[in-house]
Amino acid sequence: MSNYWPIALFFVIVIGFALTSLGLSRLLAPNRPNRVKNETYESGIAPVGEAQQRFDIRYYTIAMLFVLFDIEAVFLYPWAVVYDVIGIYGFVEMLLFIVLLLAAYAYAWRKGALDLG
Amino acid sequence: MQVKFPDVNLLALWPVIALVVTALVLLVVVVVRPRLEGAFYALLTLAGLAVALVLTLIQAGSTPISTFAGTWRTDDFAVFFTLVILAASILAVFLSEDWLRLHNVGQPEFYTVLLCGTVGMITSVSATDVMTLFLGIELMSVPTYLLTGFAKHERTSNEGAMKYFLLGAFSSAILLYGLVWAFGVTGSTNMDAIARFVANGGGESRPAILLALLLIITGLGFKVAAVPFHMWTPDAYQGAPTVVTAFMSVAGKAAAFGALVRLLTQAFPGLSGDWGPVLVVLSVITMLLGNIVAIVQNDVKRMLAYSAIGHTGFMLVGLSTWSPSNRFGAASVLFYAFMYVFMNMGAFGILAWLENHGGGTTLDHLDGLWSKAPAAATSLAVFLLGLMGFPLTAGLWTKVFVFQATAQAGYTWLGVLMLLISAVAAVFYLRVVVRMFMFEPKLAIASPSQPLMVIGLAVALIGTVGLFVLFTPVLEFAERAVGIGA
Amino acid sequence: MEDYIWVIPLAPLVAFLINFLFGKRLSGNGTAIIGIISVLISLVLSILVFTQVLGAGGEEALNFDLYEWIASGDFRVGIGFYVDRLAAIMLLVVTSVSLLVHIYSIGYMHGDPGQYRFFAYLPLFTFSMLMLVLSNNFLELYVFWEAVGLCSYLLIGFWYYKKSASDAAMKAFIVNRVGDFGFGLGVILLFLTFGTLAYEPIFERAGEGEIAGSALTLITLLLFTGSMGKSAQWPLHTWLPDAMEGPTPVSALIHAATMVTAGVYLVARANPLYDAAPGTLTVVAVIGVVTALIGATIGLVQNDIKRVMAYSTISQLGFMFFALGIGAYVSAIFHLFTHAFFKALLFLGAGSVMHGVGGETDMRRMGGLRKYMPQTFWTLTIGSLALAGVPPLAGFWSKDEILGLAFVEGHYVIWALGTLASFFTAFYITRLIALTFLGEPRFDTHQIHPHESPATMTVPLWILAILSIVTGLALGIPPEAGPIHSFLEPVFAHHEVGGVAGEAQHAGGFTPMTIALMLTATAVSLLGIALAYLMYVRRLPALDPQVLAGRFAGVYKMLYNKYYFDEIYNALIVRPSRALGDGLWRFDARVVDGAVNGVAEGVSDTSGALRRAQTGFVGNYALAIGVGLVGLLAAIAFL
Repeated sequence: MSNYWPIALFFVIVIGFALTSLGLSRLLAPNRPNRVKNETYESGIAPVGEAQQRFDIRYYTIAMLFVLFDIEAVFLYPWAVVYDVIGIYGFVEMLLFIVLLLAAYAYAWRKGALDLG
Repeated sequence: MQVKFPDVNLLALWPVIALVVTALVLLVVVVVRPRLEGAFYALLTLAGLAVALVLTLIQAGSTPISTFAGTWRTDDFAVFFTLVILAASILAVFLSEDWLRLHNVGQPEFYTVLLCGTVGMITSVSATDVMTLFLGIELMSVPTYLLTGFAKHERTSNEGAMKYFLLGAFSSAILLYGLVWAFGVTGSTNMDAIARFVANGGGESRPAILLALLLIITGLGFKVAAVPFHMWTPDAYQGAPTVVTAFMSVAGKAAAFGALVRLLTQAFPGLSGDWGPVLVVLSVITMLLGNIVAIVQNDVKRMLAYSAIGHTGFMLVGLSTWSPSNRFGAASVLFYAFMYVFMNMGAFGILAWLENHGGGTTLDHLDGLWSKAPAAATSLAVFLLGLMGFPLTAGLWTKVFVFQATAQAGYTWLGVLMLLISAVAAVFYLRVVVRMFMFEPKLAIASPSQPLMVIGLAVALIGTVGLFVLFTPVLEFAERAVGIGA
Repeated sequence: MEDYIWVIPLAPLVAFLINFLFGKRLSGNGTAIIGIISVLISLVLSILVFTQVLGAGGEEALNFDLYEWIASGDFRVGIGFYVDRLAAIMLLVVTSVSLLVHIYSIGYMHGDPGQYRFFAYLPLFTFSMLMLVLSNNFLELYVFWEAVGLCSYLLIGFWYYKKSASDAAMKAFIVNRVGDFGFGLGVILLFLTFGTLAYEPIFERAGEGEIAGSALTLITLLLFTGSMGKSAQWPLHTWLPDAMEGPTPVSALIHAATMVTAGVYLVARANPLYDAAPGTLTVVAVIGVVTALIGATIGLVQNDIKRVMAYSTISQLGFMFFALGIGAYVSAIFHLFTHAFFKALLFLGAGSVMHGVGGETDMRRMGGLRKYMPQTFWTLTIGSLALAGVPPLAGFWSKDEILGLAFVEGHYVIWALGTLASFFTAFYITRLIALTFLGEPRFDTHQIHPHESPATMTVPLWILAILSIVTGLALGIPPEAGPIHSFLEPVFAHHEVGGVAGEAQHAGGFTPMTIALMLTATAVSLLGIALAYLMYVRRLPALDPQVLAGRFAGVYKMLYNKYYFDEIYNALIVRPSRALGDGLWRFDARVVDGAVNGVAEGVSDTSGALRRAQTGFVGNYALAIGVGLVGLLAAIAFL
């Protein structure tokens, strides 16, 4: 089990760091709350209504598509970097990946997932 | 810089490739021609599944192939479960087409999702690396959540899907956590490497490896609907479109059992003395709860959901008797899964058939079915007798061989308990038969045309009865798959 | 024999397939002819088998596997045939009665819309019964044991639109489940004990005495539970009277001549096991004699013609079982053989009566039918005399042997009770004849015009009547040493324990003792007949049935209500299990379903409430998973 001591130490440091920084700011910073300051921070927009509210379904489709192509980009960067090493093999692999995504993309497009109106 | 690519033997993947290509083609066709007449989408799906089935049968004859750097193995075990899963998928398509049409939930995407799920299931049973296995489990689960909620205008369908999804994510996390622990302790994600590490019981890492084992059993126990991880099952099975319930109660369960058997017998064979008793406990409470609660259900669909839990218990009995020197328990599980396809899909199929006729699935709807639709009533009776383990159906052998496994492993008391519980189970299966054959019909039914459904039901019926006679090849294949006589 | 024996069961199977698949397109008579031809083939071949077995000397049985069905490790079971003299004689019984019933049914089922179904199920039953008799291992036996049961349920519930018929089918099914569950366990125990299910090795090793007696006792008791269910022995006898809801030919074939005797066949077949478990034999004897008495006494007061016969069957099966129990295997099979013919005759005769009077079964609304249907009257009378045990008819020889052996072996109580039962038997069957055929008509002669049945029905009656006369004379003389004994002895002679040794010492034949016993039995039968004659034909005022019923109201009511067995089972088993089910249902409704239904059915709630409720329950579910995991952890940590 001795292999795991570094991990335990890591946990201790993480928690310690968080507690220390929060504690220090509590000690050092002045604390004068008012109504505006106590409001939930929501990207600078005044929070209105219930927290449990419905979002437009399109929000989710957009978010999902974004994540999807984000991941594609994440894969593409390292692929591009080592492209000269992996050669035709890597090319075919990535082609398959893109074809798969493309089919799904075409589907989403035709189904109106990108239609923001 | 020199890069070493993993060896890839595409021969091992042909069935999966066929399914993926079919799914893609289907997706593209849906985009280009969203409203094709007739059963085009279903037939296309069937064609893809048939190709995959043929390719799998070709694999069945050849030597095992290990590929992708040892993360994937197409051996007898994988081929056996692939056949089970493909059979279930094919039956599911037959059952679904008419149901979807008559219930106006006929988006062709259904089949794409179904095919993706099938690919995930095949991956789960072919994986020899825990990460690939997890990938397969997820690829199976996500489409199943979707299918559960496919009748999107039905509140129960939504509810079931939501619960299934949330709890499924939870259990996947537990499974992943267990796999990660296994990796952390043994330093490998390869099942054979893990097996070498735990061969001597795990040494000083034993507590950690046992924790990993329990987390894995919990995670997969959820997927196979073992008590107390079963709570999603009644809601999801009842809420899901009946044809989906048929599919996931059979194929999903088979795949999860495949993964569980593969993991326990291939990655943790040295710990069979530890996980065996755990499974004994799980199997006993699963058998008891599933079969007893089923007695009081008035909705046959929900009753079959509990009965499915009960069958998980019976299968766990078989698996719990496994040890490296006595592998028959695993063979009995494989055999069970195979026979279960026809009986359970048939039973749910008849319920779907009834729904197509504008009926419901409560006992009241089944009253006097015999006098209105003798063929349907007789078929349902045969399927239920099969699930009961009645002679003259394949169901008898499922119970016989699980019992034999217990007797060989010295767990005879467990086998006798299983037989006692299946005698109790006769109560609720027979109640349906009584209502169908002995009561006055209360509700009228329409009779729409549903050709594919009839074919699917006929196949299930022939399987249930025919395999009673010709079960030996299946048993031999199952024994070979778990390494008996090899 | 090997080259054609398989045709015997195959022919009816083919007939079943043809009639089942294409029966709707054939005419009613077409399906009947297909069935008759198939059973005729079986009968001819069975006779051939019989002569070959007879010529073979009887020591070695033919035993071979057609197909290796299960091969898994040590667990090897084939589909095979085991043909010895016992099987040969059973083949004759099954095929001959089946053929006659097929022929009879042409007339009886004429015009019934379900005729083709009927002529599909009958060959199916014949096939299953033949396979049961020919099995060479216990698993095959069990499978066909269930198969004949299945046919029986199908045929009891043949007129499924009649609620009483489908209820009766269900009752038969459920009561048989109890017995078959025991049977199944017995087969499993056999496999665990012997490591095989084939007859030959099991019987050989059982005789060698290496298996613990307690194990054998348990196995034989469990197997006997199966026999009790199938052969309607007390306390599992309640389904058989209800089974009379089926068409009468079915009652004759399945519920009198063949299927219900499968329990007797099983005990006789497994005789090496039973001989090694004397305790079980005692149980068999006691159950048998109790059943014989219960059946006979209930039969005294029933008014439904078929029910009287059903209780008579129960009672006669009881005779066979106590014969088995005292080790008189040959006599039991002899009685099975003769009973098959005269009881089939009685049932077919009853069917003929019902046919003649428009489906009436209540004897109180019959009477005086003799002049309308003389052939039925005479054949039925022959059957009745055979049942009553009047010499020289068949029933006399076989029943007398059983009672005689009980006496000679020193089972005096069993002998006395058996004799009492046979007195009752003579009484109730005479009462039946008197109420049905003699006296004045008690029905409206303007509305009902009784008529004799067609030749297809009376000819089988006459054939059976002749068989009821000659089989006893041909096979049973001299008593306890007749041809049936020399024929069957090899089957039961290879062991030297228990009652059989006694039987071997007791040489039989016309000794002063057997003659005295025969005279006693005859006197008892005649006494019963005379009493019934005086009560129901001469109607002596001192013996007026109604006055007697009033005087012994308690006894009468008890018998009339069949000892309240149905009510007792209802109170002890049916109602409590229903209550348990209700209780569980309520638990489920509140605890399990309440939560779910609250969500599923509370659709009028706002979506907000629904959402909150849902997450709550999913949380509960997740909690269960967590608790389960912790439970497993705790279990593995502490165990």
